[in-house]
Amino acid sequence: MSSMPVVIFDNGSGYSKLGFAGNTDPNYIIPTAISSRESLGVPVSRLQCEDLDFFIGEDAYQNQKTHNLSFPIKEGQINNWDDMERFWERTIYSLMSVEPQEHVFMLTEPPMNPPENREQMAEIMFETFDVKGLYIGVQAVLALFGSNLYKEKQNLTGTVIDSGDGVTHIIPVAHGYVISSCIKHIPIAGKDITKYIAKALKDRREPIATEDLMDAARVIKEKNCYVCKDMDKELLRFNDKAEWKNYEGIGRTTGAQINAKVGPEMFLGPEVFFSPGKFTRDWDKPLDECLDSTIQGCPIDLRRDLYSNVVLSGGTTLFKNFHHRLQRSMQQRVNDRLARYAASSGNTPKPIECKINAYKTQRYAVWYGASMFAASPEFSRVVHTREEYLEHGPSIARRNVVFGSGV
Amino acid sequence: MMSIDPHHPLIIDNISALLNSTIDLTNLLFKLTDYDGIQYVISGQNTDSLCFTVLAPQLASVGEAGGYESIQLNYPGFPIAIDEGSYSILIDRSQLPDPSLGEERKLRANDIANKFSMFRTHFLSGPFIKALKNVKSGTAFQPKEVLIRPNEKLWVIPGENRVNFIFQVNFSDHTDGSLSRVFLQEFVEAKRQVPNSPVITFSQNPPEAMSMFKGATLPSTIGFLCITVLKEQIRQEAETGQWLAGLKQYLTYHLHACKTYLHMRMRKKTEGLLKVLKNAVPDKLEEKTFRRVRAAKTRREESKIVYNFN
Repeated sequence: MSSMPVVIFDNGSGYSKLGFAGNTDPNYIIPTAISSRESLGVPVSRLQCEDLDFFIGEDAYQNQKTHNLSFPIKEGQINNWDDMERFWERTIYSLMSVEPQEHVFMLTEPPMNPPENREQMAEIMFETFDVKGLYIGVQAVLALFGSNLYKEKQNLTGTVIDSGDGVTHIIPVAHGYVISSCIKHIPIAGKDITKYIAKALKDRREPIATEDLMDAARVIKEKNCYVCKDMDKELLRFNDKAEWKNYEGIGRTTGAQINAKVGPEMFLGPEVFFSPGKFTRDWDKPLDECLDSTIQGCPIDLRRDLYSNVVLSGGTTLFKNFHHRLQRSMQQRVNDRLARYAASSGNTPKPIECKINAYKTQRYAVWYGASMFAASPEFSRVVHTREEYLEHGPSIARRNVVFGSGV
Repeated sequence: MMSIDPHHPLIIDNISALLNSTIDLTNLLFKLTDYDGIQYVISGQNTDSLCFTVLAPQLASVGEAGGYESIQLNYPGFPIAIDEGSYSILIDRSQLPDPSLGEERKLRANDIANKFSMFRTHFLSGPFIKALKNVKSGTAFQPKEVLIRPNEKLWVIPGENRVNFIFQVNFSDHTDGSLSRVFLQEFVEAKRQVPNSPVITFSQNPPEAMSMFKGATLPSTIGFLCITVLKEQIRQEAETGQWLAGLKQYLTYHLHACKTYLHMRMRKKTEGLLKVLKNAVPDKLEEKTFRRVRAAKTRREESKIVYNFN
């Protein structure tokens, strides 16, 4: 039964990407949400199987009238194991429709995930679902694996900007290993942009009910938002009402039609990455400055590679022109520094090329990388099998061998 | 969700998308898996036809026992090709209503997709339906041994106005095995609560009814589940067959759900115990008093200084 395909779960704080290895697209992209009867702890009665009365994904939103909606993953890390276990149970049985005993599973984890979490993941997968094998991959490395550059150069060195719904990370990777001392965490992500748009809509008194506001903002963020070249000029453009866009939707609970106008928040939302000081008090460094300082903190012989291979991953990097703007401001920054160096020392240094890669599979770059990896022949050598688990216990999951090193 | 949906959601998605589109199907190929170790390969034959191939180790055994008949009954009008170890059905897109009849075409395509998503259930319920039909009509038939899953067997044994289905229950995991024993005992007990339910017995040793197969080597198993269906109990053969075919999945699903539930309770319990432990740590009384005294002292001195300044 070794021909059974590997099942890949990439659970992010916003969306979960699920599918079989070897495909180019995940089979499902569903919100990582679960709605169950009980608010805290365990269901009371066992006679009626109350513990099975829960919904996941879109259905969780649909049933939030009668059930309590919760999100088991916060900032990329699993914080409610009960919910996560049930989420996996439902995805395995009703979405993927596979028998877990016959498949190898691949899960992903954020960088800096404590090893205890990894052990817990392995425990659930092996003890509850009796999976045949398990591999836990680091999201950043998988994203790099899925990028075109790996295919061309077979080199796993680069910087990954992973920006999802809950968290943004800048992660330098050298030869397949994450340089964990240099990871930068930015507390701005998709959710903040959604919140900002929701606030803008509310302030302008658009006719949207409070319970639909976040959904509407999310749809606007995914459909209309883009990154502009110059914020002030773009703002002037919106004085003309003809530039405004329409939003049409349906109220989740009422079922009524919603019609609203969408204005400058279309570019002001994503702008939070480039001029955060104007929008939030928590953070004032623009993304390009963070990226630059992250790479400057890395070992000197890696820096050129890190500059020339920046990979974007996650849904929040999908805004139109995001990579152009980032590339322009990065190149500017690097050139300025080189010019300063030239002026002070009199030497002309070799120019540094900054390259931000954007590609089709960016939204689920991690999943795509995982799919490529699981389908490659190296995978069978690194996966933890059931026999190993029974022999050594969950501690085997602490170490997940990095593939591709020394390639 | 008490039971697993017999439809395979991925097959519905893929086939309905392909049938509703007008793309060239020639180079298309993708694979899907299902319960019971069944794999599907959906491949394009030419621009307009799809080949739905099923691969499974138990294909021939189940097919001869009634699976093939069930498929022919459920998929009329689709050409079928049987090969060694594989079973293919051709779907012709050009047979669908014209694209100009948008809605009708869509309905028909979705209908086909829905039908194929039930393939496993239709196929595996074949032996059960055949036996049930025979009992109902009073036709005599030979006892059969069917390989229903890669490592599990089913024995269909006719009796007087009744049929015995004996399932071999196998779990690779020890915990699963022990839990399943408890579960299957509950099945036996169900007779008390559900009127007119079939007689179910569960035993570690092969039941009497299958004495004619004793000579055959039996692999080690958790036990044997025997479901006896009487002639009077047979009403809807197809539905009963579907339930019987999904028995193992139902069992596994509930075992896993049960383990999840137990884990939830364990976590809750640990949390409670940790709380008790935390409360048991004695307060550091002395240090507290010291701090309080010192704080009061400094405050007094500070106020003195302020007082002096004023």
